[in-house]
Amino acid sequence: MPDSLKVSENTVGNRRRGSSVGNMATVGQHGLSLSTTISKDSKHKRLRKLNTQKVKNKQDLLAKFYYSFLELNFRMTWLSPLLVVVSVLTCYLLSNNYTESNPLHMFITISYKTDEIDDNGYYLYDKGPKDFAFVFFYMIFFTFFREFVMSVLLKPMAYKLKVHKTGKVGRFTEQMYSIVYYGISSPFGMWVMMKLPVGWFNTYYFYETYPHKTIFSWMKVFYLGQAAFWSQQAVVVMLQLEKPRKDFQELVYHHIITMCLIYASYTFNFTWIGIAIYLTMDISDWFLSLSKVLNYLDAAITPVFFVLFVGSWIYFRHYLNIKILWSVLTEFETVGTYRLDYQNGAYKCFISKPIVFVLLFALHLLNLFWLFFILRILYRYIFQGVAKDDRSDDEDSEDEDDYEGYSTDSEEDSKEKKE
Amino acid sequence: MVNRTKNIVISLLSVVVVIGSVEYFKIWTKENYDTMHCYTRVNPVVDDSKVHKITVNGTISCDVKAQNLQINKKLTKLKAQQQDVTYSYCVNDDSSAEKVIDKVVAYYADQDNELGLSEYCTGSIVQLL
Repeated sequence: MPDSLKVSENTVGNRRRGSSVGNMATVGQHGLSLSTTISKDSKHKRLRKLNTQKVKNKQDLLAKFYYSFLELNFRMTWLSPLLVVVSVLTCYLLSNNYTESNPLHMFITISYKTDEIDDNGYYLYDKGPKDFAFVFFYMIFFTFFREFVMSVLLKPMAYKLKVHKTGKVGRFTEQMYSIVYYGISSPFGMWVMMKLPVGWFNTYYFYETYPHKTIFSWMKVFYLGQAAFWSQQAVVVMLQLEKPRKDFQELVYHHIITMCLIYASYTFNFTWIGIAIYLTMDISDWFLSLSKVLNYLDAAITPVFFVLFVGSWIYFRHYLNIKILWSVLTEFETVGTYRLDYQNGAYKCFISKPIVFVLLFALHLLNLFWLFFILRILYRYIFQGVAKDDRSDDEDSEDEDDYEGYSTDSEEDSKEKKE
Repeated sequence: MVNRTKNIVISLLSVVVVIGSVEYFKIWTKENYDTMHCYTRVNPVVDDSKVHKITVNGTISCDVKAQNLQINKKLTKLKAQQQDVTYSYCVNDDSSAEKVIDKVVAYYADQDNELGLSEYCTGSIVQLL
């Protein structure tokens, strides 16, 4: 493939710093694993402490165990969340009580089962405070899942695919993780949505039978699972576990809007609209991640998938989102009940209409922001033959040393030996 | 590290406050939906009459149960305000009324005007204790 046609990740000399021009990264695309926050100095201090720790009594032995456990956690950041998840699961399974009376039930599985069954034969579930417990538990699960998949499964895959540069390995594992996650959530979400009268984004049914106070089991699992995933991502951003980039502000706005939409749609019974929005985001993110991975691998079919990604982005994040926004303006009021009824949980009224519209429109504006840069890249590629990703916060400009967690084991060993 | 801890604590507190407020709002409005959807009006049945009529108006969500709740609250408040006066009242539940909002009407009067009250009551007259 000619160099001019390869999507180069080199920085552009006159790129404006301080703006997020050209950054195509969406939520979840930025983070590396937790281990990337470790500095070399702290690692050497830990190792020195561990190696020099002499065991004279029980306290020293406990201290040694403690530092060994800490070291193990730093090397395998997925270990602690796994221990938590396995412990809770084990206690739940050993209790032999799999009903809602078990206090662990609300963490492991969904709560508030009703006696009603929908047209497809699935039980309907109500909503309540125990849903927060479910989300919290699966936030821990996703912490484990992300760390494990990225460091144990994807990092070796990167080396096998001859991605050796440390920074590139980090980005490769990030995007591959996104492919894994969205590769699961997208078909699952599509299956759930097709079980509803909504079908493939038929917006009329968002409102016809509103309020959707109860939802069927798998829809609740999907919805709360997604909430857990996004909440975990939000915590990563809040804790600044990943190096803040230049579009950190936009990322924070994106997270705030996303979390507001998820919570508001769930608590005010707009879940059928919510699932449609979830899908538009997830499917296009899958294509984005795939396109990026192929780019990192310098694959010949990268341009094809880039065009496919642009098409999917425009269809899902713009055409369908505009269709949903239009339905809020036209069908929200005219289809189904349009009145405030606190007792029956009906909030589709003159108050919620502008709130729903503003939140969805804000999300759409962010997507438009990114579309502009995507189209610019496409234009330059087609008409100028130049394929440069002029993101201001370029992943390439970061030092290799920043990604300690992704150095190979042999590199780590040699560095330690030198010391 | 301090910044991160501060960030997470502030964010967590904010989230708890927001979610707590919204959930409290939902629960309170659900339990007091009659207050949110209905309002009462008290007028004498005719000018200068000592018999008063309590009607309930509101949105379409102000159902029969909400109207009854509102009337009870109004009468309780009346008694609390004038404890030295003994009132009698009755509640007419007219299922045949066309509008839901007209289904429940109450009348009350002090003990001296109980006879006048009986003209308007279809059901039993109860003393307000």
